[in-house]
Amino acid sequence: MNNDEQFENRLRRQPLRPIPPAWRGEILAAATARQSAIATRRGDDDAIALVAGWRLLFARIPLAWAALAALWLGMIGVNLTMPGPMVSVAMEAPASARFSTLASLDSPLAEFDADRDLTVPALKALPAAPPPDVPLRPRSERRRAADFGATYPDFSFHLIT
Amino acid sequence: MPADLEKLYDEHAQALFAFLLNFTRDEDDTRDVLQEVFAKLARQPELLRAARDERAFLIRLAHNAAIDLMRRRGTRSRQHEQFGEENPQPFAATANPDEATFRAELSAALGDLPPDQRAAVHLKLWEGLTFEQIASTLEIPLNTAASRYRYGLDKLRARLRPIYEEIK
Repeated sequence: MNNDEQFENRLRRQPLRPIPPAWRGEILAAATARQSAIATRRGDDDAIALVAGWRLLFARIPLAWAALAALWLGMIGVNLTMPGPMVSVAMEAPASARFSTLASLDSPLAEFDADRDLTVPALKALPAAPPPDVPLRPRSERRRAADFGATYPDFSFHLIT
Repeated sequence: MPADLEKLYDEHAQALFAFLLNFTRDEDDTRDVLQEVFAKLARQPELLRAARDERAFLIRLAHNAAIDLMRRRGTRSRQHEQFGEENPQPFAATANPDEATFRAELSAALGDLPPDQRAAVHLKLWEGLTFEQIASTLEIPLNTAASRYRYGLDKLRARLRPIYEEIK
């Protein structure tokens, strides 16, 4: 081993000073406190940005926003003082009238049921209509005859066929 | 307090303290930088996830934070443009008078080195890093790391030779 290596080894063997034990708690506490302070400040920054945004929006045309707010308040006031039409009718009518109104709602349904009872048996009693006695012809001729009939409804169909 | 931060402190704070005390030559600066490093780790715990070597990464963080402190101080006051103005004792105390004399002289000789040479010498001798690791940690070329170490060691040898020959 030469002198250079001996010198290096001699230096390497020098023990380093230990870190003061009191630093541990202080440094870790400071690091954690700064971390929580930054988190809190981030939340505050968000709130401040929101308020600033609203302030910027309202600051440009304050009179227009004030007028709009007053209009909304007026509409809300009017709406509260005037109850709706259905509610007012219901509130003003006596209890017996309210029940009769409800009963009258059922009468058209009853009439419809009665009509159906009369109509359905009558329809069932009718004989089934026979299929029209139409001679078989090519589709093109049938279509032509139909068009002609639509154009000249009074013309007798049998004269053509 | 995060358990990871405590674990990191217990594993690496001693090495960071020794490096910073040697690099800054000031106990208050060492404490400030150490606190800044751990505050950064508390704030951004994801920093360490990509690090292959925790110790080397933390030393790099500490080194960069110390350089930032030096620059800030340089802009504030011309009287504190760089470190090395004080002579703290980076080595443990000893009852042996010869050893105490040698350590005091070694500490003074380290203080006379430029900070970049001091950093290379410290990492080579007391952290046991290779030149490649020193180059990676200090973010310098490999040849620069080796030359800084060589220049620093030569200066130490020239300064300490009389006392070294005497107590050898």
